[in-house]
Order: sequence, then structure tokens, then C-alpha cells
Amino acid sequence: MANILFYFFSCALVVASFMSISMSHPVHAVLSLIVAFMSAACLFLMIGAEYLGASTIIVYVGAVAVLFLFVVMMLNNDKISSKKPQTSNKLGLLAMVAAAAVIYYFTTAFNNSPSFLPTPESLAIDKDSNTLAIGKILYTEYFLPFQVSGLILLLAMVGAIMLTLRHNKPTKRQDVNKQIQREKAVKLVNPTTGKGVKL
Amino acid sequence: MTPLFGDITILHYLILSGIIFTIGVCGISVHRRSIISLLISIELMLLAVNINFIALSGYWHNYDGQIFSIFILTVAAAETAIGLAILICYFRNKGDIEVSQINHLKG
Repeated sequence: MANILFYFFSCALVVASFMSISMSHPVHAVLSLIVAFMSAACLFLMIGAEYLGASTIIVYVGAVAVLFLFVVMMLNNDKISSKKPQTSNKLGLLAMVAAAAVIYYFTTAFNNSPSFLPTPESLAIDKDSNTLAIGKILYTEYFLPFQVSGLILLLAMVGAIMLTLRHNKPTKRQDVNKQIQREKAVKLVNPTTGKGVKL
Repeated sequence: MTPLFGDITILHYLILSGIIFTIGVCGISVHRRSIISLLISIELMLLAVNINFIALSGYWHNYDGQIFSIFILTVAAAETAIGLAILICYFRNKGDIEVSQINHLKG
């Protein structure tokens, strides 16, 4: 059963990633990228990396792919999709054939020799659940890199907002400097009954 | 070779990751023209690296690979956000996102 699931998800991953680079329409490409990420997350789940599987779905499918879709739909769609890749199509095909040959060579060369990777020393069953074990390492041993990665995210957020923010003329916005320097902002009026107030 | 589960060994995961990485490289070489396809290919390559890290982490029962994979995820998200923001900015100024036209910083 596990074998069938692995082969199913890996075939889905390969086909979806191939489609995501071969589709001429960008929206279709992004949608097949989503399929690829979903099947990769299922493969992560099968190997026992539950936290990474969940966060792949959350980050890639939930954030990155949606960002891609937004951008593809915001930009002028006819202009982008009409330009088909015309250069180096043969080069890509050649590279793919070469990659297949290399993969075939490596599988045949290494499948019978067990020593290309050191075998794991202990096959001890992990006591903690995956997320708990990751948290125990991430917040102690890797605390500084964790903080730095948070800083990177902050930087990306500020940078993306700074790049895309536009100050349109018709938009009403508050100018603090002007507001502070304003004089006669408040006027005290003693209204008489029966008459309106003229400002 | 000790199987991870079923009959699946570490070799299967490594070959799968190699295939995905190669598809990403081919995508970069085929789509020289549109930036969005280039970014999609880069995402595929980062996914292949993630598969490698996680498979080896499961093979050795060592969580360092998964931690590093989290960092890769973070950097990939930041890179995509910045790249797409630059793309939008460029599109507003020029009205087109042809890669071969983006050479104004060459001087």
C-alpha cells in the first residue's frame, strides 16, 4: 500500500511539475504548481515529516501560489500568454534526455552498492512526535537562525510594501506635518439662541 | 539498503528530487522570456532541495535537515514576495515584463 501511494504521489509530482513549466498560459502553470506542492507535501507526510508537510501546504499552496495567481491576474494577461517560448526549445529537450540518462546511470550504478550513503547508526523509534522534536531543537539549538529567518520575513514584507505602494493624487491621506503646523485649527464660538453660527 | 517504508528506500526519494530539480533547470533554460515562468522554475528547484533534505533527515533520524528545510521555506517565501513586487513595479513603469528588455541597469 505504501509503495503504491509513493509511486502515485511521485508520478503526480513529476507530471505536475513538468506541466507547470510546459503550459503556455501562466494561470495553468501556477495551478499545476499547486498540484506539485500538494503531492510533495504528501510525500513529506509519508516519510514522517508531518510538520514540514503541513507547513509546505500552508506556505506554498496558501501563500506563495496565491501570490503568484494574484500577480498573474493583475498583469496584462494577453500580452504575457501570447509570447510562447521560441528559443532553445531543442536545448530543453536535449537537457531532459541527458537528465534521464544520468538518472538511469545513477540508479543502475548505485542500486547494488549499499555504501554510497552511510547507513544510519541507530534505527531507534523517535519518542516525541515530529512537531515536538522539531520545536525542541528549533527553539534551543537553532534559536539565532530562527530569529534571523523572522528578520528576513520582516524585511521581505517591508520591501514588498515599499515597492508596490503608490501615492495616488485622489486618495485622501493624513499629512501629519501639515496638520501640526496648522494655525487656527480650533475656533471657539459663542452661539446665540435662534441664530446659526457663521464660521 | 534499509527501506524507509514498504519497499521505498532513500534512493527513490533522491532520484525523485533529481528529476524535479532537472525539470526546474530545464524550465529555466526553456522559458527565457517570462519572469513568472522563471520564478516557477526556481520554486520547483527549491522544492527538490527540500525533498532531499527531508528524505535524508528521515533516513538518519536526525532533525537538522527538517530545520534547514524550514529555513529554505522561509527564504523561498521571501524571495517570491520580493520578486513579484519587483515585477509589479516594473510592469507599472514599462507596461511589459519582457526579460530581454530589462537591461537598463547595465549602464
